[in-house]
Amino acid sequence: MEKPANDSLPCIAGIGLRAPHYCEVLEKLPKLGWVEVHNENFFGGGASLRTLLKVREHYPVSLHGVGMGLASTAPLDQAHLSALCRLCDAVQPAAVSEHLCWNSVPDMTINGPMVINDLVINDLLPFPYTQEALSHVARRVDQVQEKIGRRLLVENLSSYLSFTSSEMSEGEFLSELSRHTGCAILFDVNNLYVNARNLGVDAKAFIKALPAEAVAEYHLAGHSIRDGCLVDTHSTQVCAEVWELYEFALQHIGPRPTLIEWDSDIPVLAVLTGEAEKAQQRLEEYHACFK
Amino acid sequence: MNNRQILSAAIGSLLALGLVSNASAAGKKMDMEQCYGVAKTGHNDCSSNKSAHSCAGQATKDRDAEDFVAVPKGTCAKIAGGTLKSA
Amino acid sequence: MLVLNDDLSDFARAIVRGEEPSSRVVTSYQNYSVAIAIEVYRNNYRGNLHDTLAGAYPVIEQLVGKDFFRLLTRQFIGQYFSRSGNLHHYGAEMAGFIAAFEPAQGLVYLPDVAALEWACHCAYFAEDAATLDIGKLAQVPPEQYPDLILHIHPACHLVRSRYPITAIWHAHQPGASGDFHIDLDSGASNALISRKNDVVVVSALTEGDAAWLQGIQAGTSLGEATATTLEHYPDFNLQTALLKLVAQNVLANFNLGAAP
Repeated sequence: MEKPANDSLPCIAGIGLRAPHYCEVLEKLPKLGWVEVHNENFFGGGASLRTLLKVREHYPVSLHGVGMGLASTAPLDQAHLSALCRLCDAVQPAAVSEHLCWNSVPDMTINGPMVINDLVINDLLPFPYTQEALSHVARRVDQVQEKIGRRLLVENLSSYLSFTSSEMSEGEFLSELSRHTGCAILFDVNNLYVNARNLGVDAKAFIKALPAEAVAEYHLAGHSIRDGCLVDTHSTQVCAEVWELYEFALQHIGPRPTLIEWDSDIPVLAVLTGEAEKAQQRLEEYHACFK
Repeated sequence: MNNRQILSAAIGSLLALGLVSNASAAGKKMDMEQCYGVAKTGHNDCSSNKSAHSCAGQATKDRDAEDFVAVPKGTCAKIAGGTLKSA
Repeated sequence: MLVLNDDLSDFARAIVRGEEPSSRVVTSYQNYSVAIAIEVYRNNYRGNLHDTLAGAYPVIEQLVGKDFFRLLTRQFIGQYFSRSGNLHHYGAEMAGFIAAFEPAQGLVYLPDVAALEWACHCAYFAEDAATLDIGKLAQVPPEQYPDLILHIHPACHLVRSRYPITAIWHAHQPGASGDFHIDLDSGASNALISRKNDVVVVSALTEGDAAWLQGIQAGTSLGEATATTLEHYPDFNLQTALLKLVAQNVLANFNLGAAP
C-alpha cells in the first residue's frame, strides 16, 4: 500500500506543548524545532483549536493521539476518527501518531448476565502480541491511514504487565505492523526503558531489531517508581540510562525528529527547552538527517 | 404594537446596528489576547489544562474514599440555607 | 470473536471491577507482582476519570471541598463508565447523580450548579459555527419575519434553576474575591452560557428572555415563540432580547419555516 511521504517533521528536537506554556510560547516565540500536542484536547472548535492554529503559524506541529485504541476489540470509533480528520485538515500537521495499545471492549459481561457495552478505559493498555492481534491491528491501522490520507506513526508502549499468550515481542509486532500497513514507528526510548526494567525486555536487542527505515520519530521522557514498578508519568527529566539508550538508538537507527514529553508536574518552559537542547546536541553529534 | 410590528422593529434594530459583522471583525483582532485567555482565565484553564488528555501514567496513589467523612467542607458554608439539613 | 477479546475483557474486568486477572497474564515481574501492576492500572483509570471530572466541575469541587468531591467522583466512576476515547465526553450525568447522592441531599442547589458547569464544559469544546449573517437577514422581506427559524450556536446553552446559580458560579471563578454570601432565597436564575471570542461567558437572563430562547431552541418560529412569550410575560421586549442574544453570540444562522 503506497502512502504519500508527506511527513515533514524537521530532524531536530521539539517539545510537547501543554496548556501552561501556550501563552509564553505565543508571546516569546522561543526557538523550538517543532511541537507535539495531544489530538483529543483540540477536538471541537473554540479557544483550544484557535490557539493551536496560532502556534501552527510559527512551528511545525505533530498530532499525537491518545484515544483511538488501535488494538481495541470494540469497533473503531468513527466519530473520533472524523474529529481527527477535521483536526488534520485545520492544522496540516507534519506528523500524526497513535499508540500501540487498546482502550475499549464491546459487550463486556460482568456478574453473569450483566453486560457493559463499549466500555472505554481512558488509558494506554497493553495486549498479547499474537498473529491474530497483528491482523486485527493492521486492519485498523489501514482504516485510519485510509481515512486521514497519510502515513500514521505508531508508538511502542510502556507496560506494567505482559501476557503469557504473546507469540512475539512488542518490537517484532511493531516491525510486522509497519511491514503490513506501511505505517511508521514512533520509538519512545523511555517506554522501552520502562519495559526493560519492569518486564525484563532486552532494550538493546529491541533497538537493533527495529527496521531503521520505518522509525520516523523518537520520544524522550521521565518516569516515576511506585512499589517497584516504573510508571511512565512524564513528570521528571530524562534519566541517564534513557539518554544512553537514545545514543545507542542514534547509532543503530540514525537521527530522527526527537520530542521531549512532560505531562505532569510541568516545569517552566526553560527546563523543557533545556532538555530539548540536550537531545539536539546528541542529534548534531550524529550529523544531519538521512533524508 | 401587534406581533408583526414587534418583529419588524426588533429585526430592524439588528439590521441597523449591523453589529454582528462588526463584532466578528473585532474578534479577529482579539485573537492573540483570546488564545492567552485559554491558559489564563477561569473555566478555560480548567478545561484545557486540568482535564487535558495525556499519555502519562498517574503518579499519586488514589486514597481510599472510605477514609473520607461524607460531609461537604467547602464554600457551601457561605451559601445561606445551603448547608446540610440537620438530620 | 477474537481470542484477543477474551484477554482484553479479563484485563478490563480486573481494572474496573477489581476481579482477578486472567491466567494468561504473567504473574510476576522484575521487581513487583501482578497485583501491583493491576493496581497501577486501576489507579490510572480512576485518576484519569477523577481529573476529568475535576476539570469539568471546578465549582462543585470548591463548594463541597476536595475530600467530599473525591468521594463523589469515586462513586460516580463506579456507576458511570466512560464510552469515548475523548475524555471530554465523560461526566454528562453528574447533575442527576448528585440529585440522588445521599450525602449531598442538603445542598439543594448543587445539581443545578452541576448542570451549569456541564453546559460550560460543552460550550468550551463545541464546534465553531458562523455567526448570524446580517446581510442575509436584510434580504428577508419583513412579511416573512414570523416564519424565521433562528438557529442557536452550538456553544449556547440555557440552564434554568429555582436557585441563584449564576451568582454562585461567578463567585467561584478565578479572580473572584472569595468573600461572598449568597442567600438561596434570592430567587431563581436563568443562566445563559455562550462563547464569545472563544471565551465561555455565563450571564443571567430574565424569565421572559429565557422562555423565548427556550422556544427558539425547540425550533419554534420567531413569530410563534414571540407570541407565546408575550402571553406569559407581557413585559417581554423582543428588541432588547435580540440585541442582547446577538451580542452574546447566541444566534448562528436562520432559515425560513413554512408559512402557517
